[in-house]
Formats: sequence, C-alpha cells, structure tokens
Amino acid sequence: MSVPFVIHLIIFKYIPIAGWVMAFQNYKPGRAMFQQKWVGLAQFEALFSDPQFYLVLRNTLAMASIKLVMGTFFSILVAILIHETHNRPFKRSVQTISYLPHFVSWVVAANIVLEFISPRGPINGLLLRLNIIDEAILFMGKPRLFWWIIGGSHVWKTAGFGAIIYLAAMTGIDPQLYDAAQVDGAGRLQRIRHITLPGIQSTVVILLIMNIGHLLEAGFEQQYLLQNGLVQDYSEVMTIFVLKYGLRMQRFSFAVAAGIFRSMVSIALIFTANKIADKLGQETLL
Amino acid sequence: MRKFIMIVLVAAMAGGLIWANGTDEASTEGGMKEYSVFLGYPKEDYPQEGTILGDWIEEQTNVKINWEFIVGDLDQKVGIIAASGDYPDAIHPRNLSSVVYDAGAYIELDGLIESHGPNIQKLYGERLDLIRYGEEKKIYWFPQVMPYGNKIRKTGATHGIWFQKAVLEEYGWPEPKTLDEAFDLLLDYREKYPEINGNETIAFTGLYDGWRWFPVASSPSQYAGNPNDGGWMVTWNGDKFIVSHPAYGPIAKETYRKYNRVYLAGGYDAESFVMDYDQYLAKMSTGAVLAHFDQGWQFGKIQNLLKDQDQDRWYVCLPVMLDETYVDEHEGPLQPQVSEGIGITVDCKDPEGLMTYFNFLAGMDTLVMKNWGRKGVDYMVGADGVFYRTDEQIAQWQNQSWVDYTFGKAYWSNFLSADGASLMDDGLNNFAPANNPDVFQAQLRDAEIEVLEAYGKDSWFDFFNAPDVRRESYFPAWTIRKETGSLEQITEQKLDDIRRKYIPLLIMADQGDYDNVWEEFINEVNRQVSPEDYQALIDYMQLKVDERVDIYGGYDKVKAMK
Repeated sequence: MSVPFVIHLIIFKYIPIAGWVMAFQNYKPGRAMFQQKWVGLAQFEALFSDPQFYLVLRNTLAMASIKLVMGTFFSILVAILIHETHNRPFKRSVQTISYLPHFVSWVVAANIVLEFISPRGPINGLLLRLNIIDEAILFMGKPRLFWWIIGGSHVWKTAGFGAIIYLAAMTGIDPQLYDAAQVDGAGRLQRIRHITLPGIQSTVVILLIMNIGHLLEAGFEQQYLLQNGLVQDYSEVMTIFVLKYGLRMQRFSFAVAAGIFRSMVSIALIFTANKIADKLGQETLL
Repeated sequence: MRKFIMIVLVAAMAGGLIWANGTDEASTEGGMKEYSVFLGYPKEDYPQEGTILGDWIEEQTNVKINWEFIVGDLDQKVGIIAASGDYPDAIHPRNLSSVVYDAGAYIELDGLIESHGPNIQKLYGERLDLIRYGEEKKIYWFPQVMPYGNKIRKTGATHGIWFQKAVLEEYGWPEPKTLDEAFDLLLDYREKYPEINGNETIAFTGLYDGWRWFPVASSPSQYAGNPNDGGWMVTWNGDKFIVSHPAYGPIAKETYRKYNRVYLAGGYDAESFVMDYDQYLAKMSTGAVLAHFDQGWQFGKIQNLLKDQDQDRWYVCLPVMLDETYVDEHEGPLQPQVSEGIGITVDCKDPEGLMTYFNFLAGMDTLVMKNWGRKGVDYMVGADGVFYRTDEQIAQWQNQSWVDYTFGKAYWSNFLSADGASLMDDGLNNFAPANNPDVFQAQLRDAEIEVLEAYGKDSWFDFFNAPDVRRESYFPAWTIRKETGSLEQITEQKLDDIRRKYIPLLIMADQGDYDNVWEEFINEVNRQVSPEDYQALIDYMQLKVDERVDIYGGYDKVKAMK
C-alpha cells in the first residue's frame, strides 16, 4: 500500500539531493553537470562572509519563532473555545469564519493587512476615536513592529485552520472524564486545565517537533508582499535573500549552498527537539 | 486497491512521457508551418477563433505560431528553460536574453539576415550593428522596438514631475523651472485646499513598491539634466561620455533635502514608502495627490480615469530641475533596447523558415497593418497621403482590450516593431497613430486642448527640450546588463537595497537632522560596499558605454555631431 508513496518520496525527495553537487560548482545553465567548473567551498564562503546573511538569519529565526509560538498558542485557544461552545449553529459559523482566511492567497491577504493597518485604516481609526493617539501611526514604517505584524497576520490567517487538528484530538477525549470531573465539582476552567489540555498534549508535542524543523522557513510570500524599504532590516528572510542574491542573479550554486545550510540546521533542530521531548518523558517523533 | 494505485501510477508516468515528448517543433501540418515561441511577457492565451492581425499574417505567410507566455516569475522560468536544454523554436526572455545566450541556446543570425532578411536589413539599417553581442560580436536576437530612419515625431511625455491641471490653472499656467518653485506652488495650493474630495491633500509623492520604484530612484539624474539612463549620469565632457552615479553625491543630497522640506511642511505622503502599487493607484484616483514623479505608463489607467471624471485632477508633465544651473534633458533619443530580444534557438529545425517569417513581420506593410490596422476599415488615407481615423475608428482603437486581443496586436508587439515615434518612408506618417498630429488632435479632450492652448504648445512632448543626438551612440545605459552573478551585479543589488532604506529616512528626517541621516547613509554604503567594488561597477559601466560608442562609430563621429 505504501509503495506509491515511497516511490514518490524517492523521486521528489531523494533524487534531487544529487543536485547538491551544484553547491561545489559555479553552475552555468545549459552545460552538463560534470562539465561545470568546480569551486570547492567558495559558495559557502561567499554565503557566510556576507554580513547581510547574519541579519537575514536573525530575522528568519525570530519571525519563525514568533509564528510558531503565537500560531500554536492561538490555534489551541481557538480549539478550546470552540470545543467549549455547545450552541451548534454558533459553533459552526465561528469555525467557518475563523478558518476562512486560510484559503485567501497571501497576495490578497497582504493587501487586506496593509489596508487594515494603514494610516486611514480601521485600527488607526479606532485608536484615534478612543483618543489613545493624536495622529495616525504608520505601522508599516516602524521596523521593530514588523515581526509582530507578521506574527499577528499569521495568527489571523492560520489560527482557525490550525485549530482543526486540535479539535480532532479533543473529540478523542473520553466524555466520561468530563462527566466524572463535573460530578466531583470541577469548574469549566479546571476541566480545561486537567482534562482537555493533557488530552491533546501528545498532539501538541508532535506538531511542535515537526514545526521546529521548519524554523528556517519563516515563509516567503508573507514577508515579500508586506515588506518595504523602511523595514527591510527586519523583514528580509532567508527565502527572499536567496531569491535576490541567488536565483535572480542566476547564481544557482549560491542558492543551493544556502539550501544545504538550511537543511542541515533543520535536521539538527529536529533531532534536538526530539531529544528534549524524550528527556521530558513526552511522546516523540522518531 | 494496490493494483488500482499501480495502474493509476503507471498511467500517470506514461502520460508524463508522452507529454514530455509532445513539445512543439517546426512541423508541417496541412501545409501550415508551425513554430513554437516563448514570450517573457504575460498575455492572455491566443484566442481560439483567431485575431484580425493574426489571421492576416497566417494567410500571408502560411505560418502558425504556438505561443507560450510567462506565468509567474520570469527569472525562475527562464533559468529553467536555459538549464533544461529543451527549447522552443524562438525565445524572447525579455531582459534575460544574456542568460539564454550564456546557455548556448541561441544561433547566430548574421548569415540568415544576409540571405533571408532584406526587410530586417531595411528596417534596422545601420543600427543592425548595435545589437551585436558577445565576444564574437554577432547578432543573436531582435529587440522589441527599433527606431526607423532619422525622422522623429512624438506627442507624449515620457517622465518628469506630473502636476494636476487644477493646480496649474489656479496659478495661471506657470512653468516651474526648479524644485523649489514647484514645491512652493504645491505647498501653497495645499494650504489653500487642505482637503480634496474629502481626502487630505498630498503635495508630492512617489511610487516605492518593488521594481516599480525605478523612476523615483533615478529621478536625481533627471533633475540634473539627464535622460533615463537608469539612475546613471552619462555626461559629455567634450571628448567622451563619462559615467557617474548621482545617488551618493551632492545632487541626490540636495534633491532629497528639498523633498524633506515638503515632508516637514506636512505635504509629503509618508505612506508612499510602505504602499504597494495598487494602493498607490487607489490614492491617486481620489484626486488628492497634487504632483508626483513617475513614468507616464505606470499610472496611465488612473490618468484616463481622472480625465473621464472631468474634475481637472489629471496630470500634466513638466520638466523641473534641481536648480537654475541645470538644463532640461528629460527626453533621450530613440534607441533600441539592444540588450534583449527574440532569438532563434538551436532546437529550431527550420531556422530559414522562421527567419523568412520574421522578415515578413519587419516588412513595411506588416508594420502598417500592425499599428494602423486595415486601410479603409481601421484608418483612412487623405488626398495628401496623410493617414487619419474617423471618430468611430478612434473610439474603436481606444478600446485597449479590443486592440490587444480581438485585433491581436498584443501578440506581435514585443519583437520586430518600429518605434512609434519614427516616421515612415513617406515622411508624413508615424508608425504609432497617436503621434500623427491629426489623430493626436482628434483624441484630445476639451480640457487637454485648454491646457495646450494656455501654454501655446502643440503636444505634451513640446514641453521638453529636444533630445541630445550625440546620446544616440550609447543610449540608454539602463539596458547595460551586468553579467549574471558577477561582482558588479551583486554590488549594484547591495547599493539598491541600501537606498531603499535610506531614501525614505532622508525624506522623513527630523528638522535639522538631515545632514546626520545623510552621513549615516554614506557610512552604510561604505560599510557594505568597498570603494574598490564601487569603482569596479563604475568602470564596468564606463567600459560598456565606450564599447557601444565604438560600435556606433567612435567618439570622433560623436564629436562631429553637434
């Protein structure tokens, strides 16, 4: 049964690894792979000696962490809130509305975000009305806010959809536990704290371990579409850096070198996270 | 179940094989020759029912083109085409022609032009030498447009500061010569009318989104009396052209200082630095933007919209200089974009046939058909030989989607065209109808005629000085392409990134803080780009300009020109 998937895995995940030799060449299109010029570690040197690279690395890790933590927290929160709601039509509509943004392409979503927080947008309008501020704030022009705008828009776009998997985990919890707890006099918060959360704990840990492997993939479209010159010191992520200084300049070898670096870090992160989970006596992935 | 999945898998793989072999090659089907062409321009799929122009070309040439247009990212797509080694019969990768050339995908066209391209030779004339490329100085591609002959007539403005008609009218049709005069005017108007149509009045703005920011980024060189060389300044020192960049010297410093003045007076739209293209257009469509620097085509849609609204909030382009010492030279000579174009690939089975087709496209009859349409249907010929259009014909041809996809001009507009500002052999008619005075006049709205009459000009082009003909020898420098992955290319990208951050910071500098921000900007440039790397970039540009002048006929020929 699993044969087609293994074949798929081999074709699309293992064979392309052969392309890694490009990282040790100065690859030019149109020539056979082994007629290329070999340059040793020059591509990696170029990567690590670029001061921009460390800035980009910082931004990538920061935004990925913010997205991971905020994304997970709010997904669980939404799941719990929906789980605790018993009015079915209301529950349904909340669920639909909350995961709707997931299906909106970032090209559209970015424009919605930009309009929403623009000086003429509703956020500024509200703050002005409440007299919290005297004049509209140019949110997109504040470098230090950019990471949080990314985090916030990530939550808006994915929390509802991300909640589905936790909701599924919650339906697996034996309802008798809740009944028993209620008989014992546990309040709603206590039931959440002592039954719901432990019930989804293993799902949360597995998902966290898997997502930690993607820490160097802070996203592309989101930053690319939201960024501007004023915030670029905080908005440039690995993918944009590779696009600008690699692919756009036809420096395929440089791009592959960056890709290898990313893969290596990801593998290391997964193993570390797995180890930690193991040490803490939690469910592990490997 | 397993069997079923295996069958599906085998079928999919077999399908993939068939599909992979099914790429188009020069083939003969029902007497029609077929060629595959990749264009790096996004277009709608070629209509099933054909187009007026396409059917006419097919009838005359017996050639059918199978089009492929760019979808998604051009760099990525062209990179894949180049690396795959599997090419369509002809490729137009836009500004990535050198990438396809480096992959060895193009064939030399010199011999074919000699034997099969009399029309191309006639259309290009001496300029044929300008498109030579590579060590061997051979011809590999045909550019998008080529000037024809030496007679030029233009009606439109290219770029500059665009002022709202209402503002100009308010002050009795002034012609502000310097940025200070222009900004005085705009700030004064803003004070008088702090709100327009319920929106806060914006005195001055620009477009900073992605690649579209290039007019703004290169504007300091225009304020200092240079045509669009992509931000570079190419100045004549009496003996030769010298390349420099104004962005890191006094010209840019003074330019942004003046912008800063507008900002401090509250008239500069700070949101412009964070807006994307759509937001920029939306803001302009409110009518609250008094002026901005841009290339006309970037906001053509909005310009027409504003004209339709009849509120005098549409824009007139004027040449404004940094100060009195500079002389306007916004307009450059007509020159081809020699560094990019359509070329025949090594995979083309019948290059002679394709060249014959290209030769047909370069023919005068084809060019007239492409630009003017069918005689008697789309245009008329007066007794004096001057082409004109009736009101219905003008209305029909102002419908861009009809022109592009029903008439079919969109598919043949990106290669082997004559520049619309060139005059035909008859010396009476332009290739582009809008440049024919009659057509231009007939297309004008009443409000536009009012402005032209007030200023005593015949066309929008008349507001600007005539181009310096000597620049023909190299213009424009923005088409000089740095080698992919080269130090020059990386240096330029870094400089571009730094400017993207600091131009907004300079314009938004606090009172009295401007010089500090400027110093910070220069420090950042020095930190990221060593003086040697910067000099290497300048030297490279100088070398390429000199090379072009050489092909043109050398500096002695240029010196004799004026």
